[in-house]
Amino acid sequence: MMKTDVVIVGGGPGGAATAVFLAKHGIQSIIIEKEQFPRFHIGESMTGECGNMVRAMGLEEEMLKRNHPVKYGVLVYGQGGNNTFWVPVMKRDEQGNLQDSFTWQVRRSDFDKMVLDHAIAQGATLIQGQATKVLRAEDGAVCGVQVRLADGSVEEIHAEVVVDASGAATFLSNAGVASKKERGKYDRQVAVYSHVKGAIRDEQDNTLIFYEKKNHWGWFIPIDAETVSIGVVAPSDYYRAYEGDMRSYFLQQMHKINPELSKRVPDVELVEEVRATSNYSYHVKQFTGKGFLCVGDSHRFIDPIFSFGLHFALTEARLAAQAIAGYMNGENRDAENPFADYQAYSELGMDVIEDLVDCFWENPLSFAFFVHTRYVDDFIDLFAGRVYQDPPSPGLQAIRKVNAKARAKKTAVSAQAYA
Amino acid sequence: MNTVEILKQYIKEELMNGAGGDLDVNENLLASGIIDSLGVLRLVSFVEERFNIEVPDEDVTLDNFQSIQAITDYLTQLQSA
Repeated sequence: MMKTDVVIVGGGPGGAATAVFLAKHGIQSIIIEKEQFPRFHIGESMTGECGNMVRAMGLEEEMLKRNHPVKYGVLVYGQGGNNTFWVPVMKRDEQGNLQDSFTWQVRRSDFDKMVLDHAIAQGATLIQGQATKVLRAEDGAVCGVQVRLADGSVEEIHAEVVVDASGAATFLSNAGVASKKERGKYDRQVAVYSHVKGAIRDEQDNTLIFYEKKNHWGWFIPIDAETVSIGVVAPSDYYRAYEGDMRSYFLQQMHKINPELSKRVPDVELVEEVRATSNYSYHVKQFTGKGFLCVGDSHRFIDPIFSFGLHFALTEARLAAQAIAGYMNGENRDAENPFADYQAYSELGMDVIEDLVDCFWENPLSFAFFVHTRYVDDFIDLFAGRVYQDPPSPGLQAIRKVNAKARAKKTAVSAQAYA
Repeated sequence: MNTVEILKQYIKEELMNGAGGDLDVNENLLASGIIDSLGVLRLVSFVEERFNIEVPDEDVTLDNFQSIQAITDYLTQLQSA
């Protein structure tokens, strides 16, 4: 049996960053990871605030040394390559004014290993193995996990708090500790992706998004000096109707989605296998309680279009570490749920991004008008991931009004259909 | 000039660079390729300025701005509200 302050299931960026931020509070942690790093992972682009989390971990110098492509913004091409909109990465200075800034795009195998190594350098212990069971104290509180180690032996790790950073594996939800996984709104889609060499790149290595039609789009994300990550997302039915293998589908879509994508990939070599992820949107609504909390993808994943995967992993890691530090210092010890505030706050941020994505798909004209004309600064904040503002900015309120109207219209239409 | 004429004139002169013959008031401006969606955005701003109104956030929809007739109907509705 081992003992520590916090045991973290999953050594990806969410788990490793939690360990780094915990170490800053003087809290010990053990990270359990079943895979050998480096390993492949998708989700390569960062928001501005995500970049600031990397800086908060003390990794900016290392990031620049490794030459990860610098991202100054996101450029969205409309159907047929027309109607582009550009959202720059900007930060708020101490006076609250917007200033030019930048963030990064990364090869996840490199980046994830860098963050995990950093966590270990800050004092976290890495255990290679698979978490198999949740341990509970007599009062029902979660008090650790059971782990099957690489050599097949089983070890119990006791801790004050268990952090689930297992990503899409949703360890605590599957174990029946967090609530059941519910399907999200964007669950009937398939993303097919690979890495290519030989793509024609722009002067700046920004994140490019190519819109074909509703829920059908592609990404172009440079991840090192030679390599670009390319992905195509389409409704599942559309993907299933394609006759042929995944690789030929991917090659076909690269040239079909949007002329602005096609012209950048006239002659490319695929340097990774073609992979697919389907039905990816889900939501675990109760993801904290006595002795546990979830971070990032382990409780919710919305839609990849505006690059919020790494963002939530890292920002929630910092929030989680703050909540745990408070708890270890005696806050909320007798509360029914010591991490209720963390949960509410995390949900607030993810709700904002779901609203943003909803508005983009449901009402592209309103979205474009807000980005271009009416709420330029508010949209810069939203894309940067400044999503915890209270009260909501006028831009966010506008998004919510538009979405409410679209929902009311849908309800009216379906009521009519059943009448 | 009435609303229809004001809109026709703006679309022809500013968004179509003077090209095009007579515009049908019911023609779908975006779907028929007469203007692109950035053109629609300029149209929204023009309507606000010219008629001295503010289009509420939730009303910037294709339904309200897809044709000259749609915009005219929308303005009538807005002014009578």
